[in-house]
Amino acid sequence: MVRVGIMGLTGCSGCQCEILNCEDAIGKLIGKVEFAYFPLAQDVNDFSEFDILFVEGSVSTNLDREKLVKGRERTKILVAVGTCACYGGVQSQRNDEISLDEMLKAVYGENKLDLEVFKPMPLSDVVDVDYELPGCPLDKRQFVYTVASLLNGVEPFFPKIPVCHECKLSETDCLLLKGIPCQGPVSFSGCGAPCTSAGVGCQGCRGNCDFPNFDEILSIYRDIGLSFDDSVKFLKVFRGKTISGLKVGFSDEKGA
Amino acid sequence: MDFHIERAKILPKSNLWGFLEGLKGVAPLIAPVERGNKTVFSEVNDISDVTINYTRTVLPPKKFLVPYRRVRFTYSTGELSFSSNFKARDQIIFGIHSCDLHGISILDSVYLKESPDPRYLEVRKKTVLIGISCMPDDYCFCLSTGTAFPDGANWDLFLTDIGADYFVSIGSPKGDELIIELKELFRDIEREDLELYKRSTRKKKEAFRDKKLPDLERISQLIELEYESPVWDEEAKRCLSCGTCTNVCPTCFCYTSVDVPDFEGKTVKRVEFTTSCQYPYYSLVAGGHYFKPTRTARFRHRYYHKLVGYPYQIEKLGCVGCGRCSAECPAKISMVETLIKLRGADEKESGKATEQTSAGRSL
Repeated sequence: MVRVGIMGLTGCSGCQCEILNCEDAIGKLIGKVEFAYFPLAQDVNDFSEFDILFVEGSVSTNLDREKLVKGRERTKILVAVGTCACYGGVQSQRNDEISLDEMLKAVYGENKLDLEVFKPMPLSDVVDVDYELPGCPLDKRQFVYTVASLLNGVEPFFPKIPVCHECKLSETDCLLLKGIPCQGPVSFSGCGAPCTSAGVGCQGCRGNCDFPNFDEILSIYRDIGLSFDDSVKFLKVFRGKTISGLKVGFSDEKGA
Repeated sequence: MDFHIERAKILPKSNLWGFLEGLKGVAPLIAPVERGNKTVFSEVNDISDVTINYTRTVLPPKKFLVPYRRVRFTYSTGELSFSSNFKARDQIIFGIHSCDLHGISILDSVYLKESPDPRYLEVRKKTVLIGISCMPDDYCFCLSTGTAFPDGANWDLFLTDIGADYFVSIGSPKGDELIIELKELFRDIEREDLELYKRSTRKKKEAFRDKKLPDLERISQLIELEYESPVWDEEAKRCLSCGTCTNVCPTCFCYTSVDVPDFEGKTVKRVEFTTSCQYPYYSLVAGGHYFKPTRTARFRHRYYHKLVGYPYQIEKLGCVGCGRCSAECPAKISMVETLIKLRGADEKESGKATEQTSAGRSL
């Protein structure tokens, strides 16, 4: 039987809950696969070996790191689930603005911590990751599709097309044209554009689409009245280190 | 003067709702309806939802001919057999503007001219297209593309607003049958109606008088000759590659497909979905090579395909001037502006719309 593990590092466990919400799929999976390790959902867990290991959360302590390295050694396929695991998540949005010492001081004052901590980072900074399913939380349909594909030895296919694709095909008003800040044109789709169809600008929780045009999106934000600093902060919320190279100035390099 | 009375009828405006109700009795009715600030084509249950005076829908009626996401077939890995539950249904699409009818005619050429797509053919056979006249807004440039008025024979009925009545042109036997079915709603044409009908053509043309229109004479040649123009870079700089322009286009037809297995691995669905040449992965092939590696290359590709590729393929421009790509672009990139820039200084001399009649590609 295929052994599956689902574990969490530093994060809100929302993605694990979302996996639990895939009730129909889990019902079908039980009997096909063995949930060897899923501490959020079951009492008896075994961390010895896996065929597929899903990891949620970012790596921010030595405990996270050790667990992840161990998990990597013991699994054939490792899948990062959720934006924290894929890009570092909201907790890493200011990584490049402030030192670790300052962060610790602001939160813990002079208290000493008895574990090693570092700036939150994505799994791929520590180990090799086979597949990434970003999203805050991850998309249920994508999880089910990935599991079904992996169980049958099929490579899951995730074209990194922008959220505008799904937004436009659902005939939603373009929020940018209405003057509402939206990250749709630079964000990775797959969510079905639920935010924009509810009138809320895309927050970019699934990270970058392929070769995002940040110059243009910043200029659109400027035109609708956002300052440059606010625009950059807005874009950084979920993108973690994937945006650290944000430069202003048009470049038409490969794929750009 | 003699004219074939069965080629056209008059529908008094007060009978329009009766007409729609009648259509709904014949087959499921799809018509423009308001949604938020926009208009969309949607199946209607209550004809009072139908909106008659709209400028453009977000998506063209294409979505009822070629769905944006569709299952091509399911195959069983055990029996190695294919199955499909595709079934075209009868449908009437009401309220299509002339540009969109031309868009469908282009799709017809693409899908049916060489090795016809049997599914598209079946859907088309079961679909009745009823057009309606319209007036342009600032994004429309159908006068340049020669699509401001319906011609050809791919539609069934076309309603032209002539004041108190609609002048209903009959484009096909299917359209004729509908008229016969609902004949008590119509009256015969009189000389006066024909005069009003002729005048309505001039009225629409005049509405373009102060609008910026691109000159599309010899546009295919021009685009080929200006392949290296810096205009492409300038415009592409602003392009977000979001694919909106192609997703809302009435003539774009590119799609990709992916095989989705079920958990048991017993059946696999082949799902096709719309894609866009503006996405980098569109031109990505095995080995990581991008055929359209730069934003400029992708941006230019769309214009090139619409204005050079289609003419080679189907002898028509691939643009019907509906203005959707410009109206919906988050970066406000305008097809008209790009073409005017490409054409350069002599555009100023080519003058305003009044002298223009239709596109006419003169190669």
